[in-house]
Amino acid sequence: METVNNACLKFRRLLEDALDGNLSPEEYKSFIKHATFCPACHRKLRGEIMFRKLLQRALNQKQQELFHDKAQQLIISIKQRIYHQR
Amino acid sequence: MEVPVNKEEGHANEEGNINPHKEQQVEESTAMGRRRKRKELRISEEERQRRLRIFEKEIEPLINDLLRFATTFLTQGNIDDAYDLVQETLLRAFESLDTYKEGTKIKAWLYTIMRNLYINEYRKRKAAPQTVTYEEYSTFKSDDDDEGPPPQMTPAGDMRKEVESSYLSEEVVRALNKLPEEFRIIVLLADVDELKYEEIAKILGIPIGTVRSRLHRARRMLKKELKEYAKKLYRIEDKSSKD
Repeated sequence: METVNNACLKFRRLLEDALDGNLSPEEYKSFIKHATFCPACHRKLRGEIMFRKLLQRALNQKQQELFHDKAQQLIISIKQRIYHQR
Repeated sequence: MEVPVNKEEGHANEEGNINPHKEQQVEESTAMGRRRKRKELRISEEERQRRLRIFEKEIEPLINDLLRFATTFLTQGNIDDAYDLVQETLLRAFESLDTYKEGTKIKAWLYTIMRNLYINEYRKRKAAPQTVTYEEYSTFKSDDDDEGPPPQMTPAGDMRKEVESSYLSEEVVRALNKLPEEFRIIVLLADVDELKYEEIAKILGIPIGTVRSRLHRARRMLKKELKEYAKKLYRIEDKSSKD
């Protein structure tokens, strides 16, 4: 059974802000310190980081598949237009 | 440096730092098959090379992201329209690169140019924002520097095989597409582009509090949608950390 105290509740309330870069360096330090002592919150933190990384990787991969050719065309087209402006 | 915004539909404007005395008008076909007049840039060869260097180093790697932003948020999935819009955005950005400092964060600025272009030229909204200064964005870089080190992902290769399979990407995309548009775009800007709340608020023209609440709700919806998928991945992650 997971034990949740006030420090854990505070940690979980701050979790999104911490990973979104909205905490001051002092707040962030104290946030991370709790995770090093609390296995349950450490798991929560790891889960949240993993969720974001998965999302990022999956979408970047999908994006690469969808847009690669268009992006290459755009680069060529833009450079041609820039050189034409001489 | 300011984001160039058209005041009159169909015409390039002179806002930003482009010197009107160094330009002449040329007609060209442009985004979405229309014709418009563009101020032709007259700059020194040295300056052109500097801008090209910035374009190749800072902007080219972001073109996929710009296409995604355009198709997701602006053109309702139409990739051809997104292509035109991104092309026009890149040309406007190139024209306004005169005060850009190399290495400064540029993505949010490009998104804002694109959104303004879309509003002013393609949607013809009356209440369009006029200009956004580049300096507003550049301050975020120093904020970043003050932050503590970001938490590191547990072993980098843990999920690579799983995540790189197209099936799993499809699952995430499917879940994301179920979100309402105003939630979807915020998740993309925050979790994929890793923009700050302030940047997202400026790009979308909404208050920071709205960014925060929508993002929180969107992540909750997404986690719920991806519950089974996440469980599977957590098991993989746990297994690899024990190995």
